[in-house]
Amino acid sequence: MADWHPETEVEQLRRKLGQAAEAARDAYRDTTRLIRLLSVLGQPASAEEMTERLLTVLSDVFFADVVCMVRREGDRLAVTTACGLPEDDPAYTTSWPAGPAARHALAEGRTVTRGDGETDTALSAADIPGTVAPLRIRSAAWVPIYGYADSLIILFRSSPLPFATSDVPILNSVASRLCLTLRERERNAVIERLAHHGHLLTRHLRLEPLLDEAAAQLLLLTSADRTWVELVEDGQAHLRAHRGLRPDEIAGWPHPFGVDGPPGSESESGVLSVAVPREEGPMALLYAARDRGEHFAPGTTEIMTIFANHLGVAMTNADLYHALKQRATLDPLTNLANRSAMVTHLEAVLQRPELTRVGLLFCDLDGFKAVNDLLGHEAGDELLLQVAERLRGSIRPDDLLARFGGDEFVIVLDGIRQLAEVAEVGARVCADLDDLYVVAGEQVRVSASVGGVLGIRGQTTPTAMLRDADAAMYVAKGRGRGQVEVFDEDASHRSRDRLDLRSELLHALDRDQLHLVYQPIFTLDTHRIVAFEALLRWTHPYHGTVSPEVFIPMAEDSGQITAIGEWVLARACAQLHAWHQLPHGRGIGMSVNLSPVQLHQPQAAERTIDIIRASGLHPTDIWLEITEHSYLRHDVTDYVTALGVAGVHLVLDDFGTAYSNLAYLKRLPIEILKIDKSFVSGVVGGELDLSIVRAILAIADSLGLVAIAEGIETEEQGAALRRLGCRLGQGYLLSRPLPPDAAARLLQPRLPAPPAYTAATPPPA
Amino acid sequence: MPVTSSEQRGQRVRAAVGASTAADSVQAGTEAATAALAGLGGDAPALLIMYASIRYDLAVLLHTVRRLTAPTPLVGATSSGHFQDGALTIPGAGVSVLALTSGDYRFGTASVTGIREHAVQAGQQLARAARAAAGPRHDRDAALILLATGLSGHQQELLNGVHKVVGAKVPVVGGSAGDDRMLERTCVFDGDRLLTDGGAAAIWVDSPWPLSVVADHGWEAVSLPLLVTKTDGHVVCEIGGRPAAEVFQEHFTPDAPQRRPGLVRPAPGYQSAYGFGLIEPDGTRIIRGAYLDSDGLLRTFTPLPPYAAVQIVTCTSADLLGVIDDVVREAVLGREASVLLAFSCVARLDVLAEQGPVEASLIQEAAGEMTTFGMYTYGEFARTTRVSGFHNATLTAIAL
Repeated sequence: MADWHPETEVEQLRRKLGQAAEAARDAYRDTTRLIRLLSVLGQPASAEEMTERLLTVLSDVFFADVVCMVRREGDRLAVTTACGLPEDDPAYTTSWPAGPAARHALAEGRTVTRGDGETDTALSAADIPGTVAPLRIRSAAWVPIYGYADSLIILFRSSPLPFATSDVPILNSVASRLCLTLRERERNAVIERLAHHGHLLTRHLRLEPLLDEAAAQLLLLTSADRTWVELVEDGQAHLRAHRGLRPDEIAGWPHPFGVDGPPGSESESGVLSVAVPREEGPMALLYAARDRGEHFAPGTTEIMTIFANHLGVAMTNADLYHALKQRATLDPLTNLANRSAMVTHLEAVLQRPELTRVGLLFCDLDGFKAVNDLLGHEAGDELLLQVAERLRGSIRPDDLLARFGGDEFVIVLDGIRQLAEVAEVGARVCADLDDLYVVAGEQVRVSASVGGVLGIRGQTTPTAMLRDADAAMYVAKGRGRGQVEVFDEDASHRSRDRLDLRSELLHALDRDQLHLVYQPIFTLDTHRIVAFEALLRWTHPYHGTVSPEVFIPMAEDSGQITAIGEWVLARACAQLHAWHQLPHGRGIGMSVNLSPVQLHQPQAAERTIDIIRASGLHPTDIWLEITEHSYLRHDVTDYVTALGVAGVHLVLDDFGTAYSNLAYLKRLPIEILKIDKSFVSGVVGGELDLSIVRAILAIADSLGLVAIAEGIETEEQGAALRRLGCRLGQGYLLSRPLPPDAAARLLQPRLPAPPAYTAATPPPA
Repeated sequence: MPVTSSEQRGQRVRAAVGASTAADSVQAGTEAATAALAGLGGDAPALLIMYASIRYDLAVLLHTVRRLTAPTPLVGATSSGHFQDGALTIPGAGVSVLALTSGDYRFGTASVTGIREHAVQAGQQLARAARAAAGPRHDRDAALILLATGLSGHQQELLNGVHKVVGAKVPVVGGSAGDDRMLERTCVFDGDRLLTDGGAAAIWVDSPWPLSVVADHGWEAVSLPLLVTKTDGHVVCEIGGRPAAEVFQEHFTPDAPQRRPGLVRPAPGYQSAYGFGLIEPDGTRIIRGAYLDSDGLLRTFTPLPPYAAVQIVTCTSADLLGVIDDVVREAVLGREASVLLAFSCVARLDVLAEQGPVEASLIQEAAGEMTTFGMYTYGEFARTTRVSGFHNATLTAIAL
């Protein structure tokens, strides 16, 4: 005691200052720790990045060599994230056994620290995992992450510094906030995933892959161990897709997990379910289950509900697509396959590696147009429905019947061995269809012209088969009603030639292959030429002379007729203008045929008159021939009237062959009627034809029209027509169509009379 | 051009240093490399480390040295002065080369760029490459010597990247390259490659025994603990809610401004004898250099963490020199080493002023017969336990 000296005042102050500094240092250090840790939790980052950063700061502020986040898996600890373990540490792949301190922390739900055995409970070797042991760990802390799936943060220190009592609240606070933050980030990530991927479900247009992806996505969204989707059909739920179900569970369906709660709830067995809503009740049910009865994170039901809505939209979308697809492949009137579905089917059967062949029948109704025109489109539709029904009865179950368009039907015959079978089915179809049908209260007779072909799998294309069958059908139709024609390879080849011709026609005008010939129209009594009819001819370098009956319809189909028609008119006008310059050419007219297609062109009248005037002629020099036809519609009236007003003479061609609708004659400014050759040929010996010609001439006379007889081939015909009072005529008897030079010679006064005519009677004066 | 060598005993490393202060890059490189190689007495070098002043034509210097030393791996850095075998090469003066045989170690070298953009990834890439270059891996200990360019920033992130790959078991030592305090351009070397700021080089040391990395500084607190309440990057704005510069200056002693200038040009307003000590969990402090700039703003060379608990620290030459013995002793502890690699901060050289050469000689004195080789840096690496390991104004070391 003698050595004891009382503390001086300065020493006391120093001691107190030291204590204060130490207290302040600890306080500030803890503050810094907490702020640094919490600021990590506040930074924008994914759950994984945030955890990684947090462990790094924990290592820093707690002087820890290794900090890791682990999850209990049975009696082991799986490292999920770590700071201080090398990247290839086996801890990431092989879990650690849970030591006593870890088990204690998890069981008690509180932080456990271990140290040197003096200031803290001694650290046992069992608490140090193998890969951490070489670091000579001297203290450690196990911090439960409350409510976060049996997870711990573990800090291992090699320094002799024990964990202080004041460290624990900081660690607890961080762990608790980490749990909340992780949950929020994970929920955000799930919502983000929902936002990014949920709507992608709609890309599936078929139900099976859609439900399969739904099960897969649901697994990720809910962190479930198993998910499945049941489809509700007729009040019954059927398992349609799943993830994680074992075969024995599927075999034991339904109710393998004792789903005991209503949709939208978590059952006692840990199964969460929500309904995919639809107005009239759920269309599907979504289920998510966790192993070992673990509960789902709060908010999972809401996530599933949002996902179910996405799925509902996608399923509705798929349904609509299915309906649209059906609509796209079915003919809406007959419910038969449409053209596109038929082609797809034909493509598919042609690709099948089978030894048999594929037959195709192309059916076109005879007389359908008349029914449509006479009885209206509704009656036409009614007839098509009846025909479709008949056809259904004519084919085999495996054949495909399609409506190709209009009154055309196609039958695809799979498994055919020879062309004769195609012909046989074609004949049966013809026989079945050839009948009287009652439509709109009227009896109509309908038959079908049928063309058939045989296709070789792997070689023939649908396009080629349809083309050839169509051509065969036309051949059949050419032979009369209710006929069948099947094309073998050669016939198909010929039909292709016809198609080739169609493409050649595109260039005929440019290649100067078209030309005009002129057939004179005479006065029958004086044999004076009053006009020429310009007739179009096509001379093809390979096919030779192509009949107008062949190429004119082609030009009408392709729309070329407009350009060709204008060319014909211009050429004929130019020729007439030239003839008008001849001494005896003045006053003659030029008759030019107009296609019905031309009549429907915009500004057709103006163009026609422009062409006439451009040649230096007056419209009165030109006769334009229009054919009496059912499609001579009201809308051509303006055109024809405009031409009439301009002075063009209008000729109604082939009068008497169609409906002979006198309304045309009343409505249109027709001046000339041409009596069809078929009647002219019958004026000698045919009482009926003679009567018809007489009637036509009477009509013409009564209406003040001029009649021209076409196709006069014999002297007797000419004489008979003269007797009937027909003043004008044309035909081989009088003159064949001639090239311009020969025609011009006819205008010469020295022209000898045509031999046939000369032989019979002297030429008119 | 002093040349020394350590005695090779069994598998011990044999090391030799060559240095030159010649002004010509070719001459300096030739002298330093030739001397270092010669010092190995014919043994094949397994590794070369080179420190050089930024004043050299570095491409020429490196080419000259590689012509003499290739294909032996070489790494190095520009310095703000360096030392070898007890002698200081003052900033802007010369080049030094250390040649090492492998002994029981295996070395692997590598380099990386992109620190400024992706420091963590660069650190990962560097660690993997250096480790791979050391050859097949065995269950041995290791250390990583890291030389980063000094003006790249992100040194701790670079270290974090290394740490993610190698873990806590592998200590990291090293330093950031200097440029004689020009603060314009620093470089590191890797073989024939010369990398400017944004680059880093590393040596993986595969070792049969654990290697110790040591760090100490000698700085003492002159303030009570303080809380930095506001920072803006490198600027410390507020301490305890008050203007930081004011708080900082309050702790200057009256004679501090009269300190004699040291061996290098200080930054304007730089008070080399004052800095911040970041308070560590164990009560120790990590030093962060600080200075008042021409606008009166208080700046640190490395940004302080948010709400850092700090103390203002200062030191005398004696304080700094006082840690040398412990650093060297702990680096060697329990082993017979051949070479001591040291990394000291240019800030220490500032404080040491005319006593600058003393540090080098005291290091050599403490190291005894070992070869000593070191550089003055713009920041030192010493990662030992936790993830952090970037220091200022500190002496760090490793012995091989």
